[in-house]
Amino acid sequence: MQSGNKYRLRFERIEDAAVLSEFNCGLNVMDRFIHSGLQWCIDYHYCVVYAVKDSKDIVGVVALGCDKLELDTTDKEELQMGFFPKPEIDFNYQDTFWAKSSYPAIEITYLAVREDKRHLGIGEYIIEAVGQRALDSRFNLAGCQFLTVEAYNKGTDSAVSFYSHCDFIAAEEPNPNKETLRMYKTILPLAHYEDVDDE
Amino acid sequence: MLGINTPHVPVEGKFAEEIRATVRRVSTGRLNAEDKRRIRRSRKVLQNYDAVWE
Repeated sequence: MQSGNKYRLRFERIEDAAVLSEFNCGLNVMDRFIHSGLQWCIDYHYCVVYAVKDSKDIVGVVALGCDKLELDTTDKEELQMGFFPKPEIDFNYQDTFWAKSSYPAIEITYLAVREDKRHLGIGEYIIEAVGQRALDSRFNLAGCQFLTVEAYNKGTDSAVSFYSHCDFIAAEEPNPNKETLRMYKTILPLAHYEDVDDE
Repeated sequence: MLGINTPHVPVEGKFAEEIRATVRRVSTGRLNAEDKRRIRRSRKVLQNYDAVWE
């Protein structure tokens, strides 16, 4: 369905993963999990799953969970002790900066686009839509400053370049003994930055 | 990522400092050129479709 010049994508929360029985993203490891493991995650509230639909079919799946970016405090202690130059911090933000060691986030626990709908920008749109939804005050249940993801980072199926393209940044060095790379994306409240002109 | 064991450890070193710097910039509104580029890109991506949450 089109709305004006835009195609409409409906995000429909699902409780029964059986509706995804015909869905395939083309990556065997992901499809197997969607068809056999996702229901368990829904049942135990590890995540909330949305089927993303165009006018008639499911074109994507996104699962979201609660997360936080927890920072090691060693370097902050070194900053406070003066081992390194203290960063310039706005006066009103100083107490928060020195007190906080973690920041609330929503984790993209699963994201897949139907095989024949890949490379149409649907995946990156889903990410942006989730970010702006997280900031929408009408739906805020909790604070959220970042999106996070454990991006699969093995072989030709690596998702790291896709998430980098979507402005995710690595939160750690790649580890050959770990199958994923932890990444994050700052959620920028676009409505607050109307002074940032389009180019 | 669901289905894969992904232990989380605190973010360290230069990665932690980058996150703190980002939080500082966003909270004070002192965005840098990269932040502004990301804003423009997000706007552009959001123009492609219309989301309806049900």
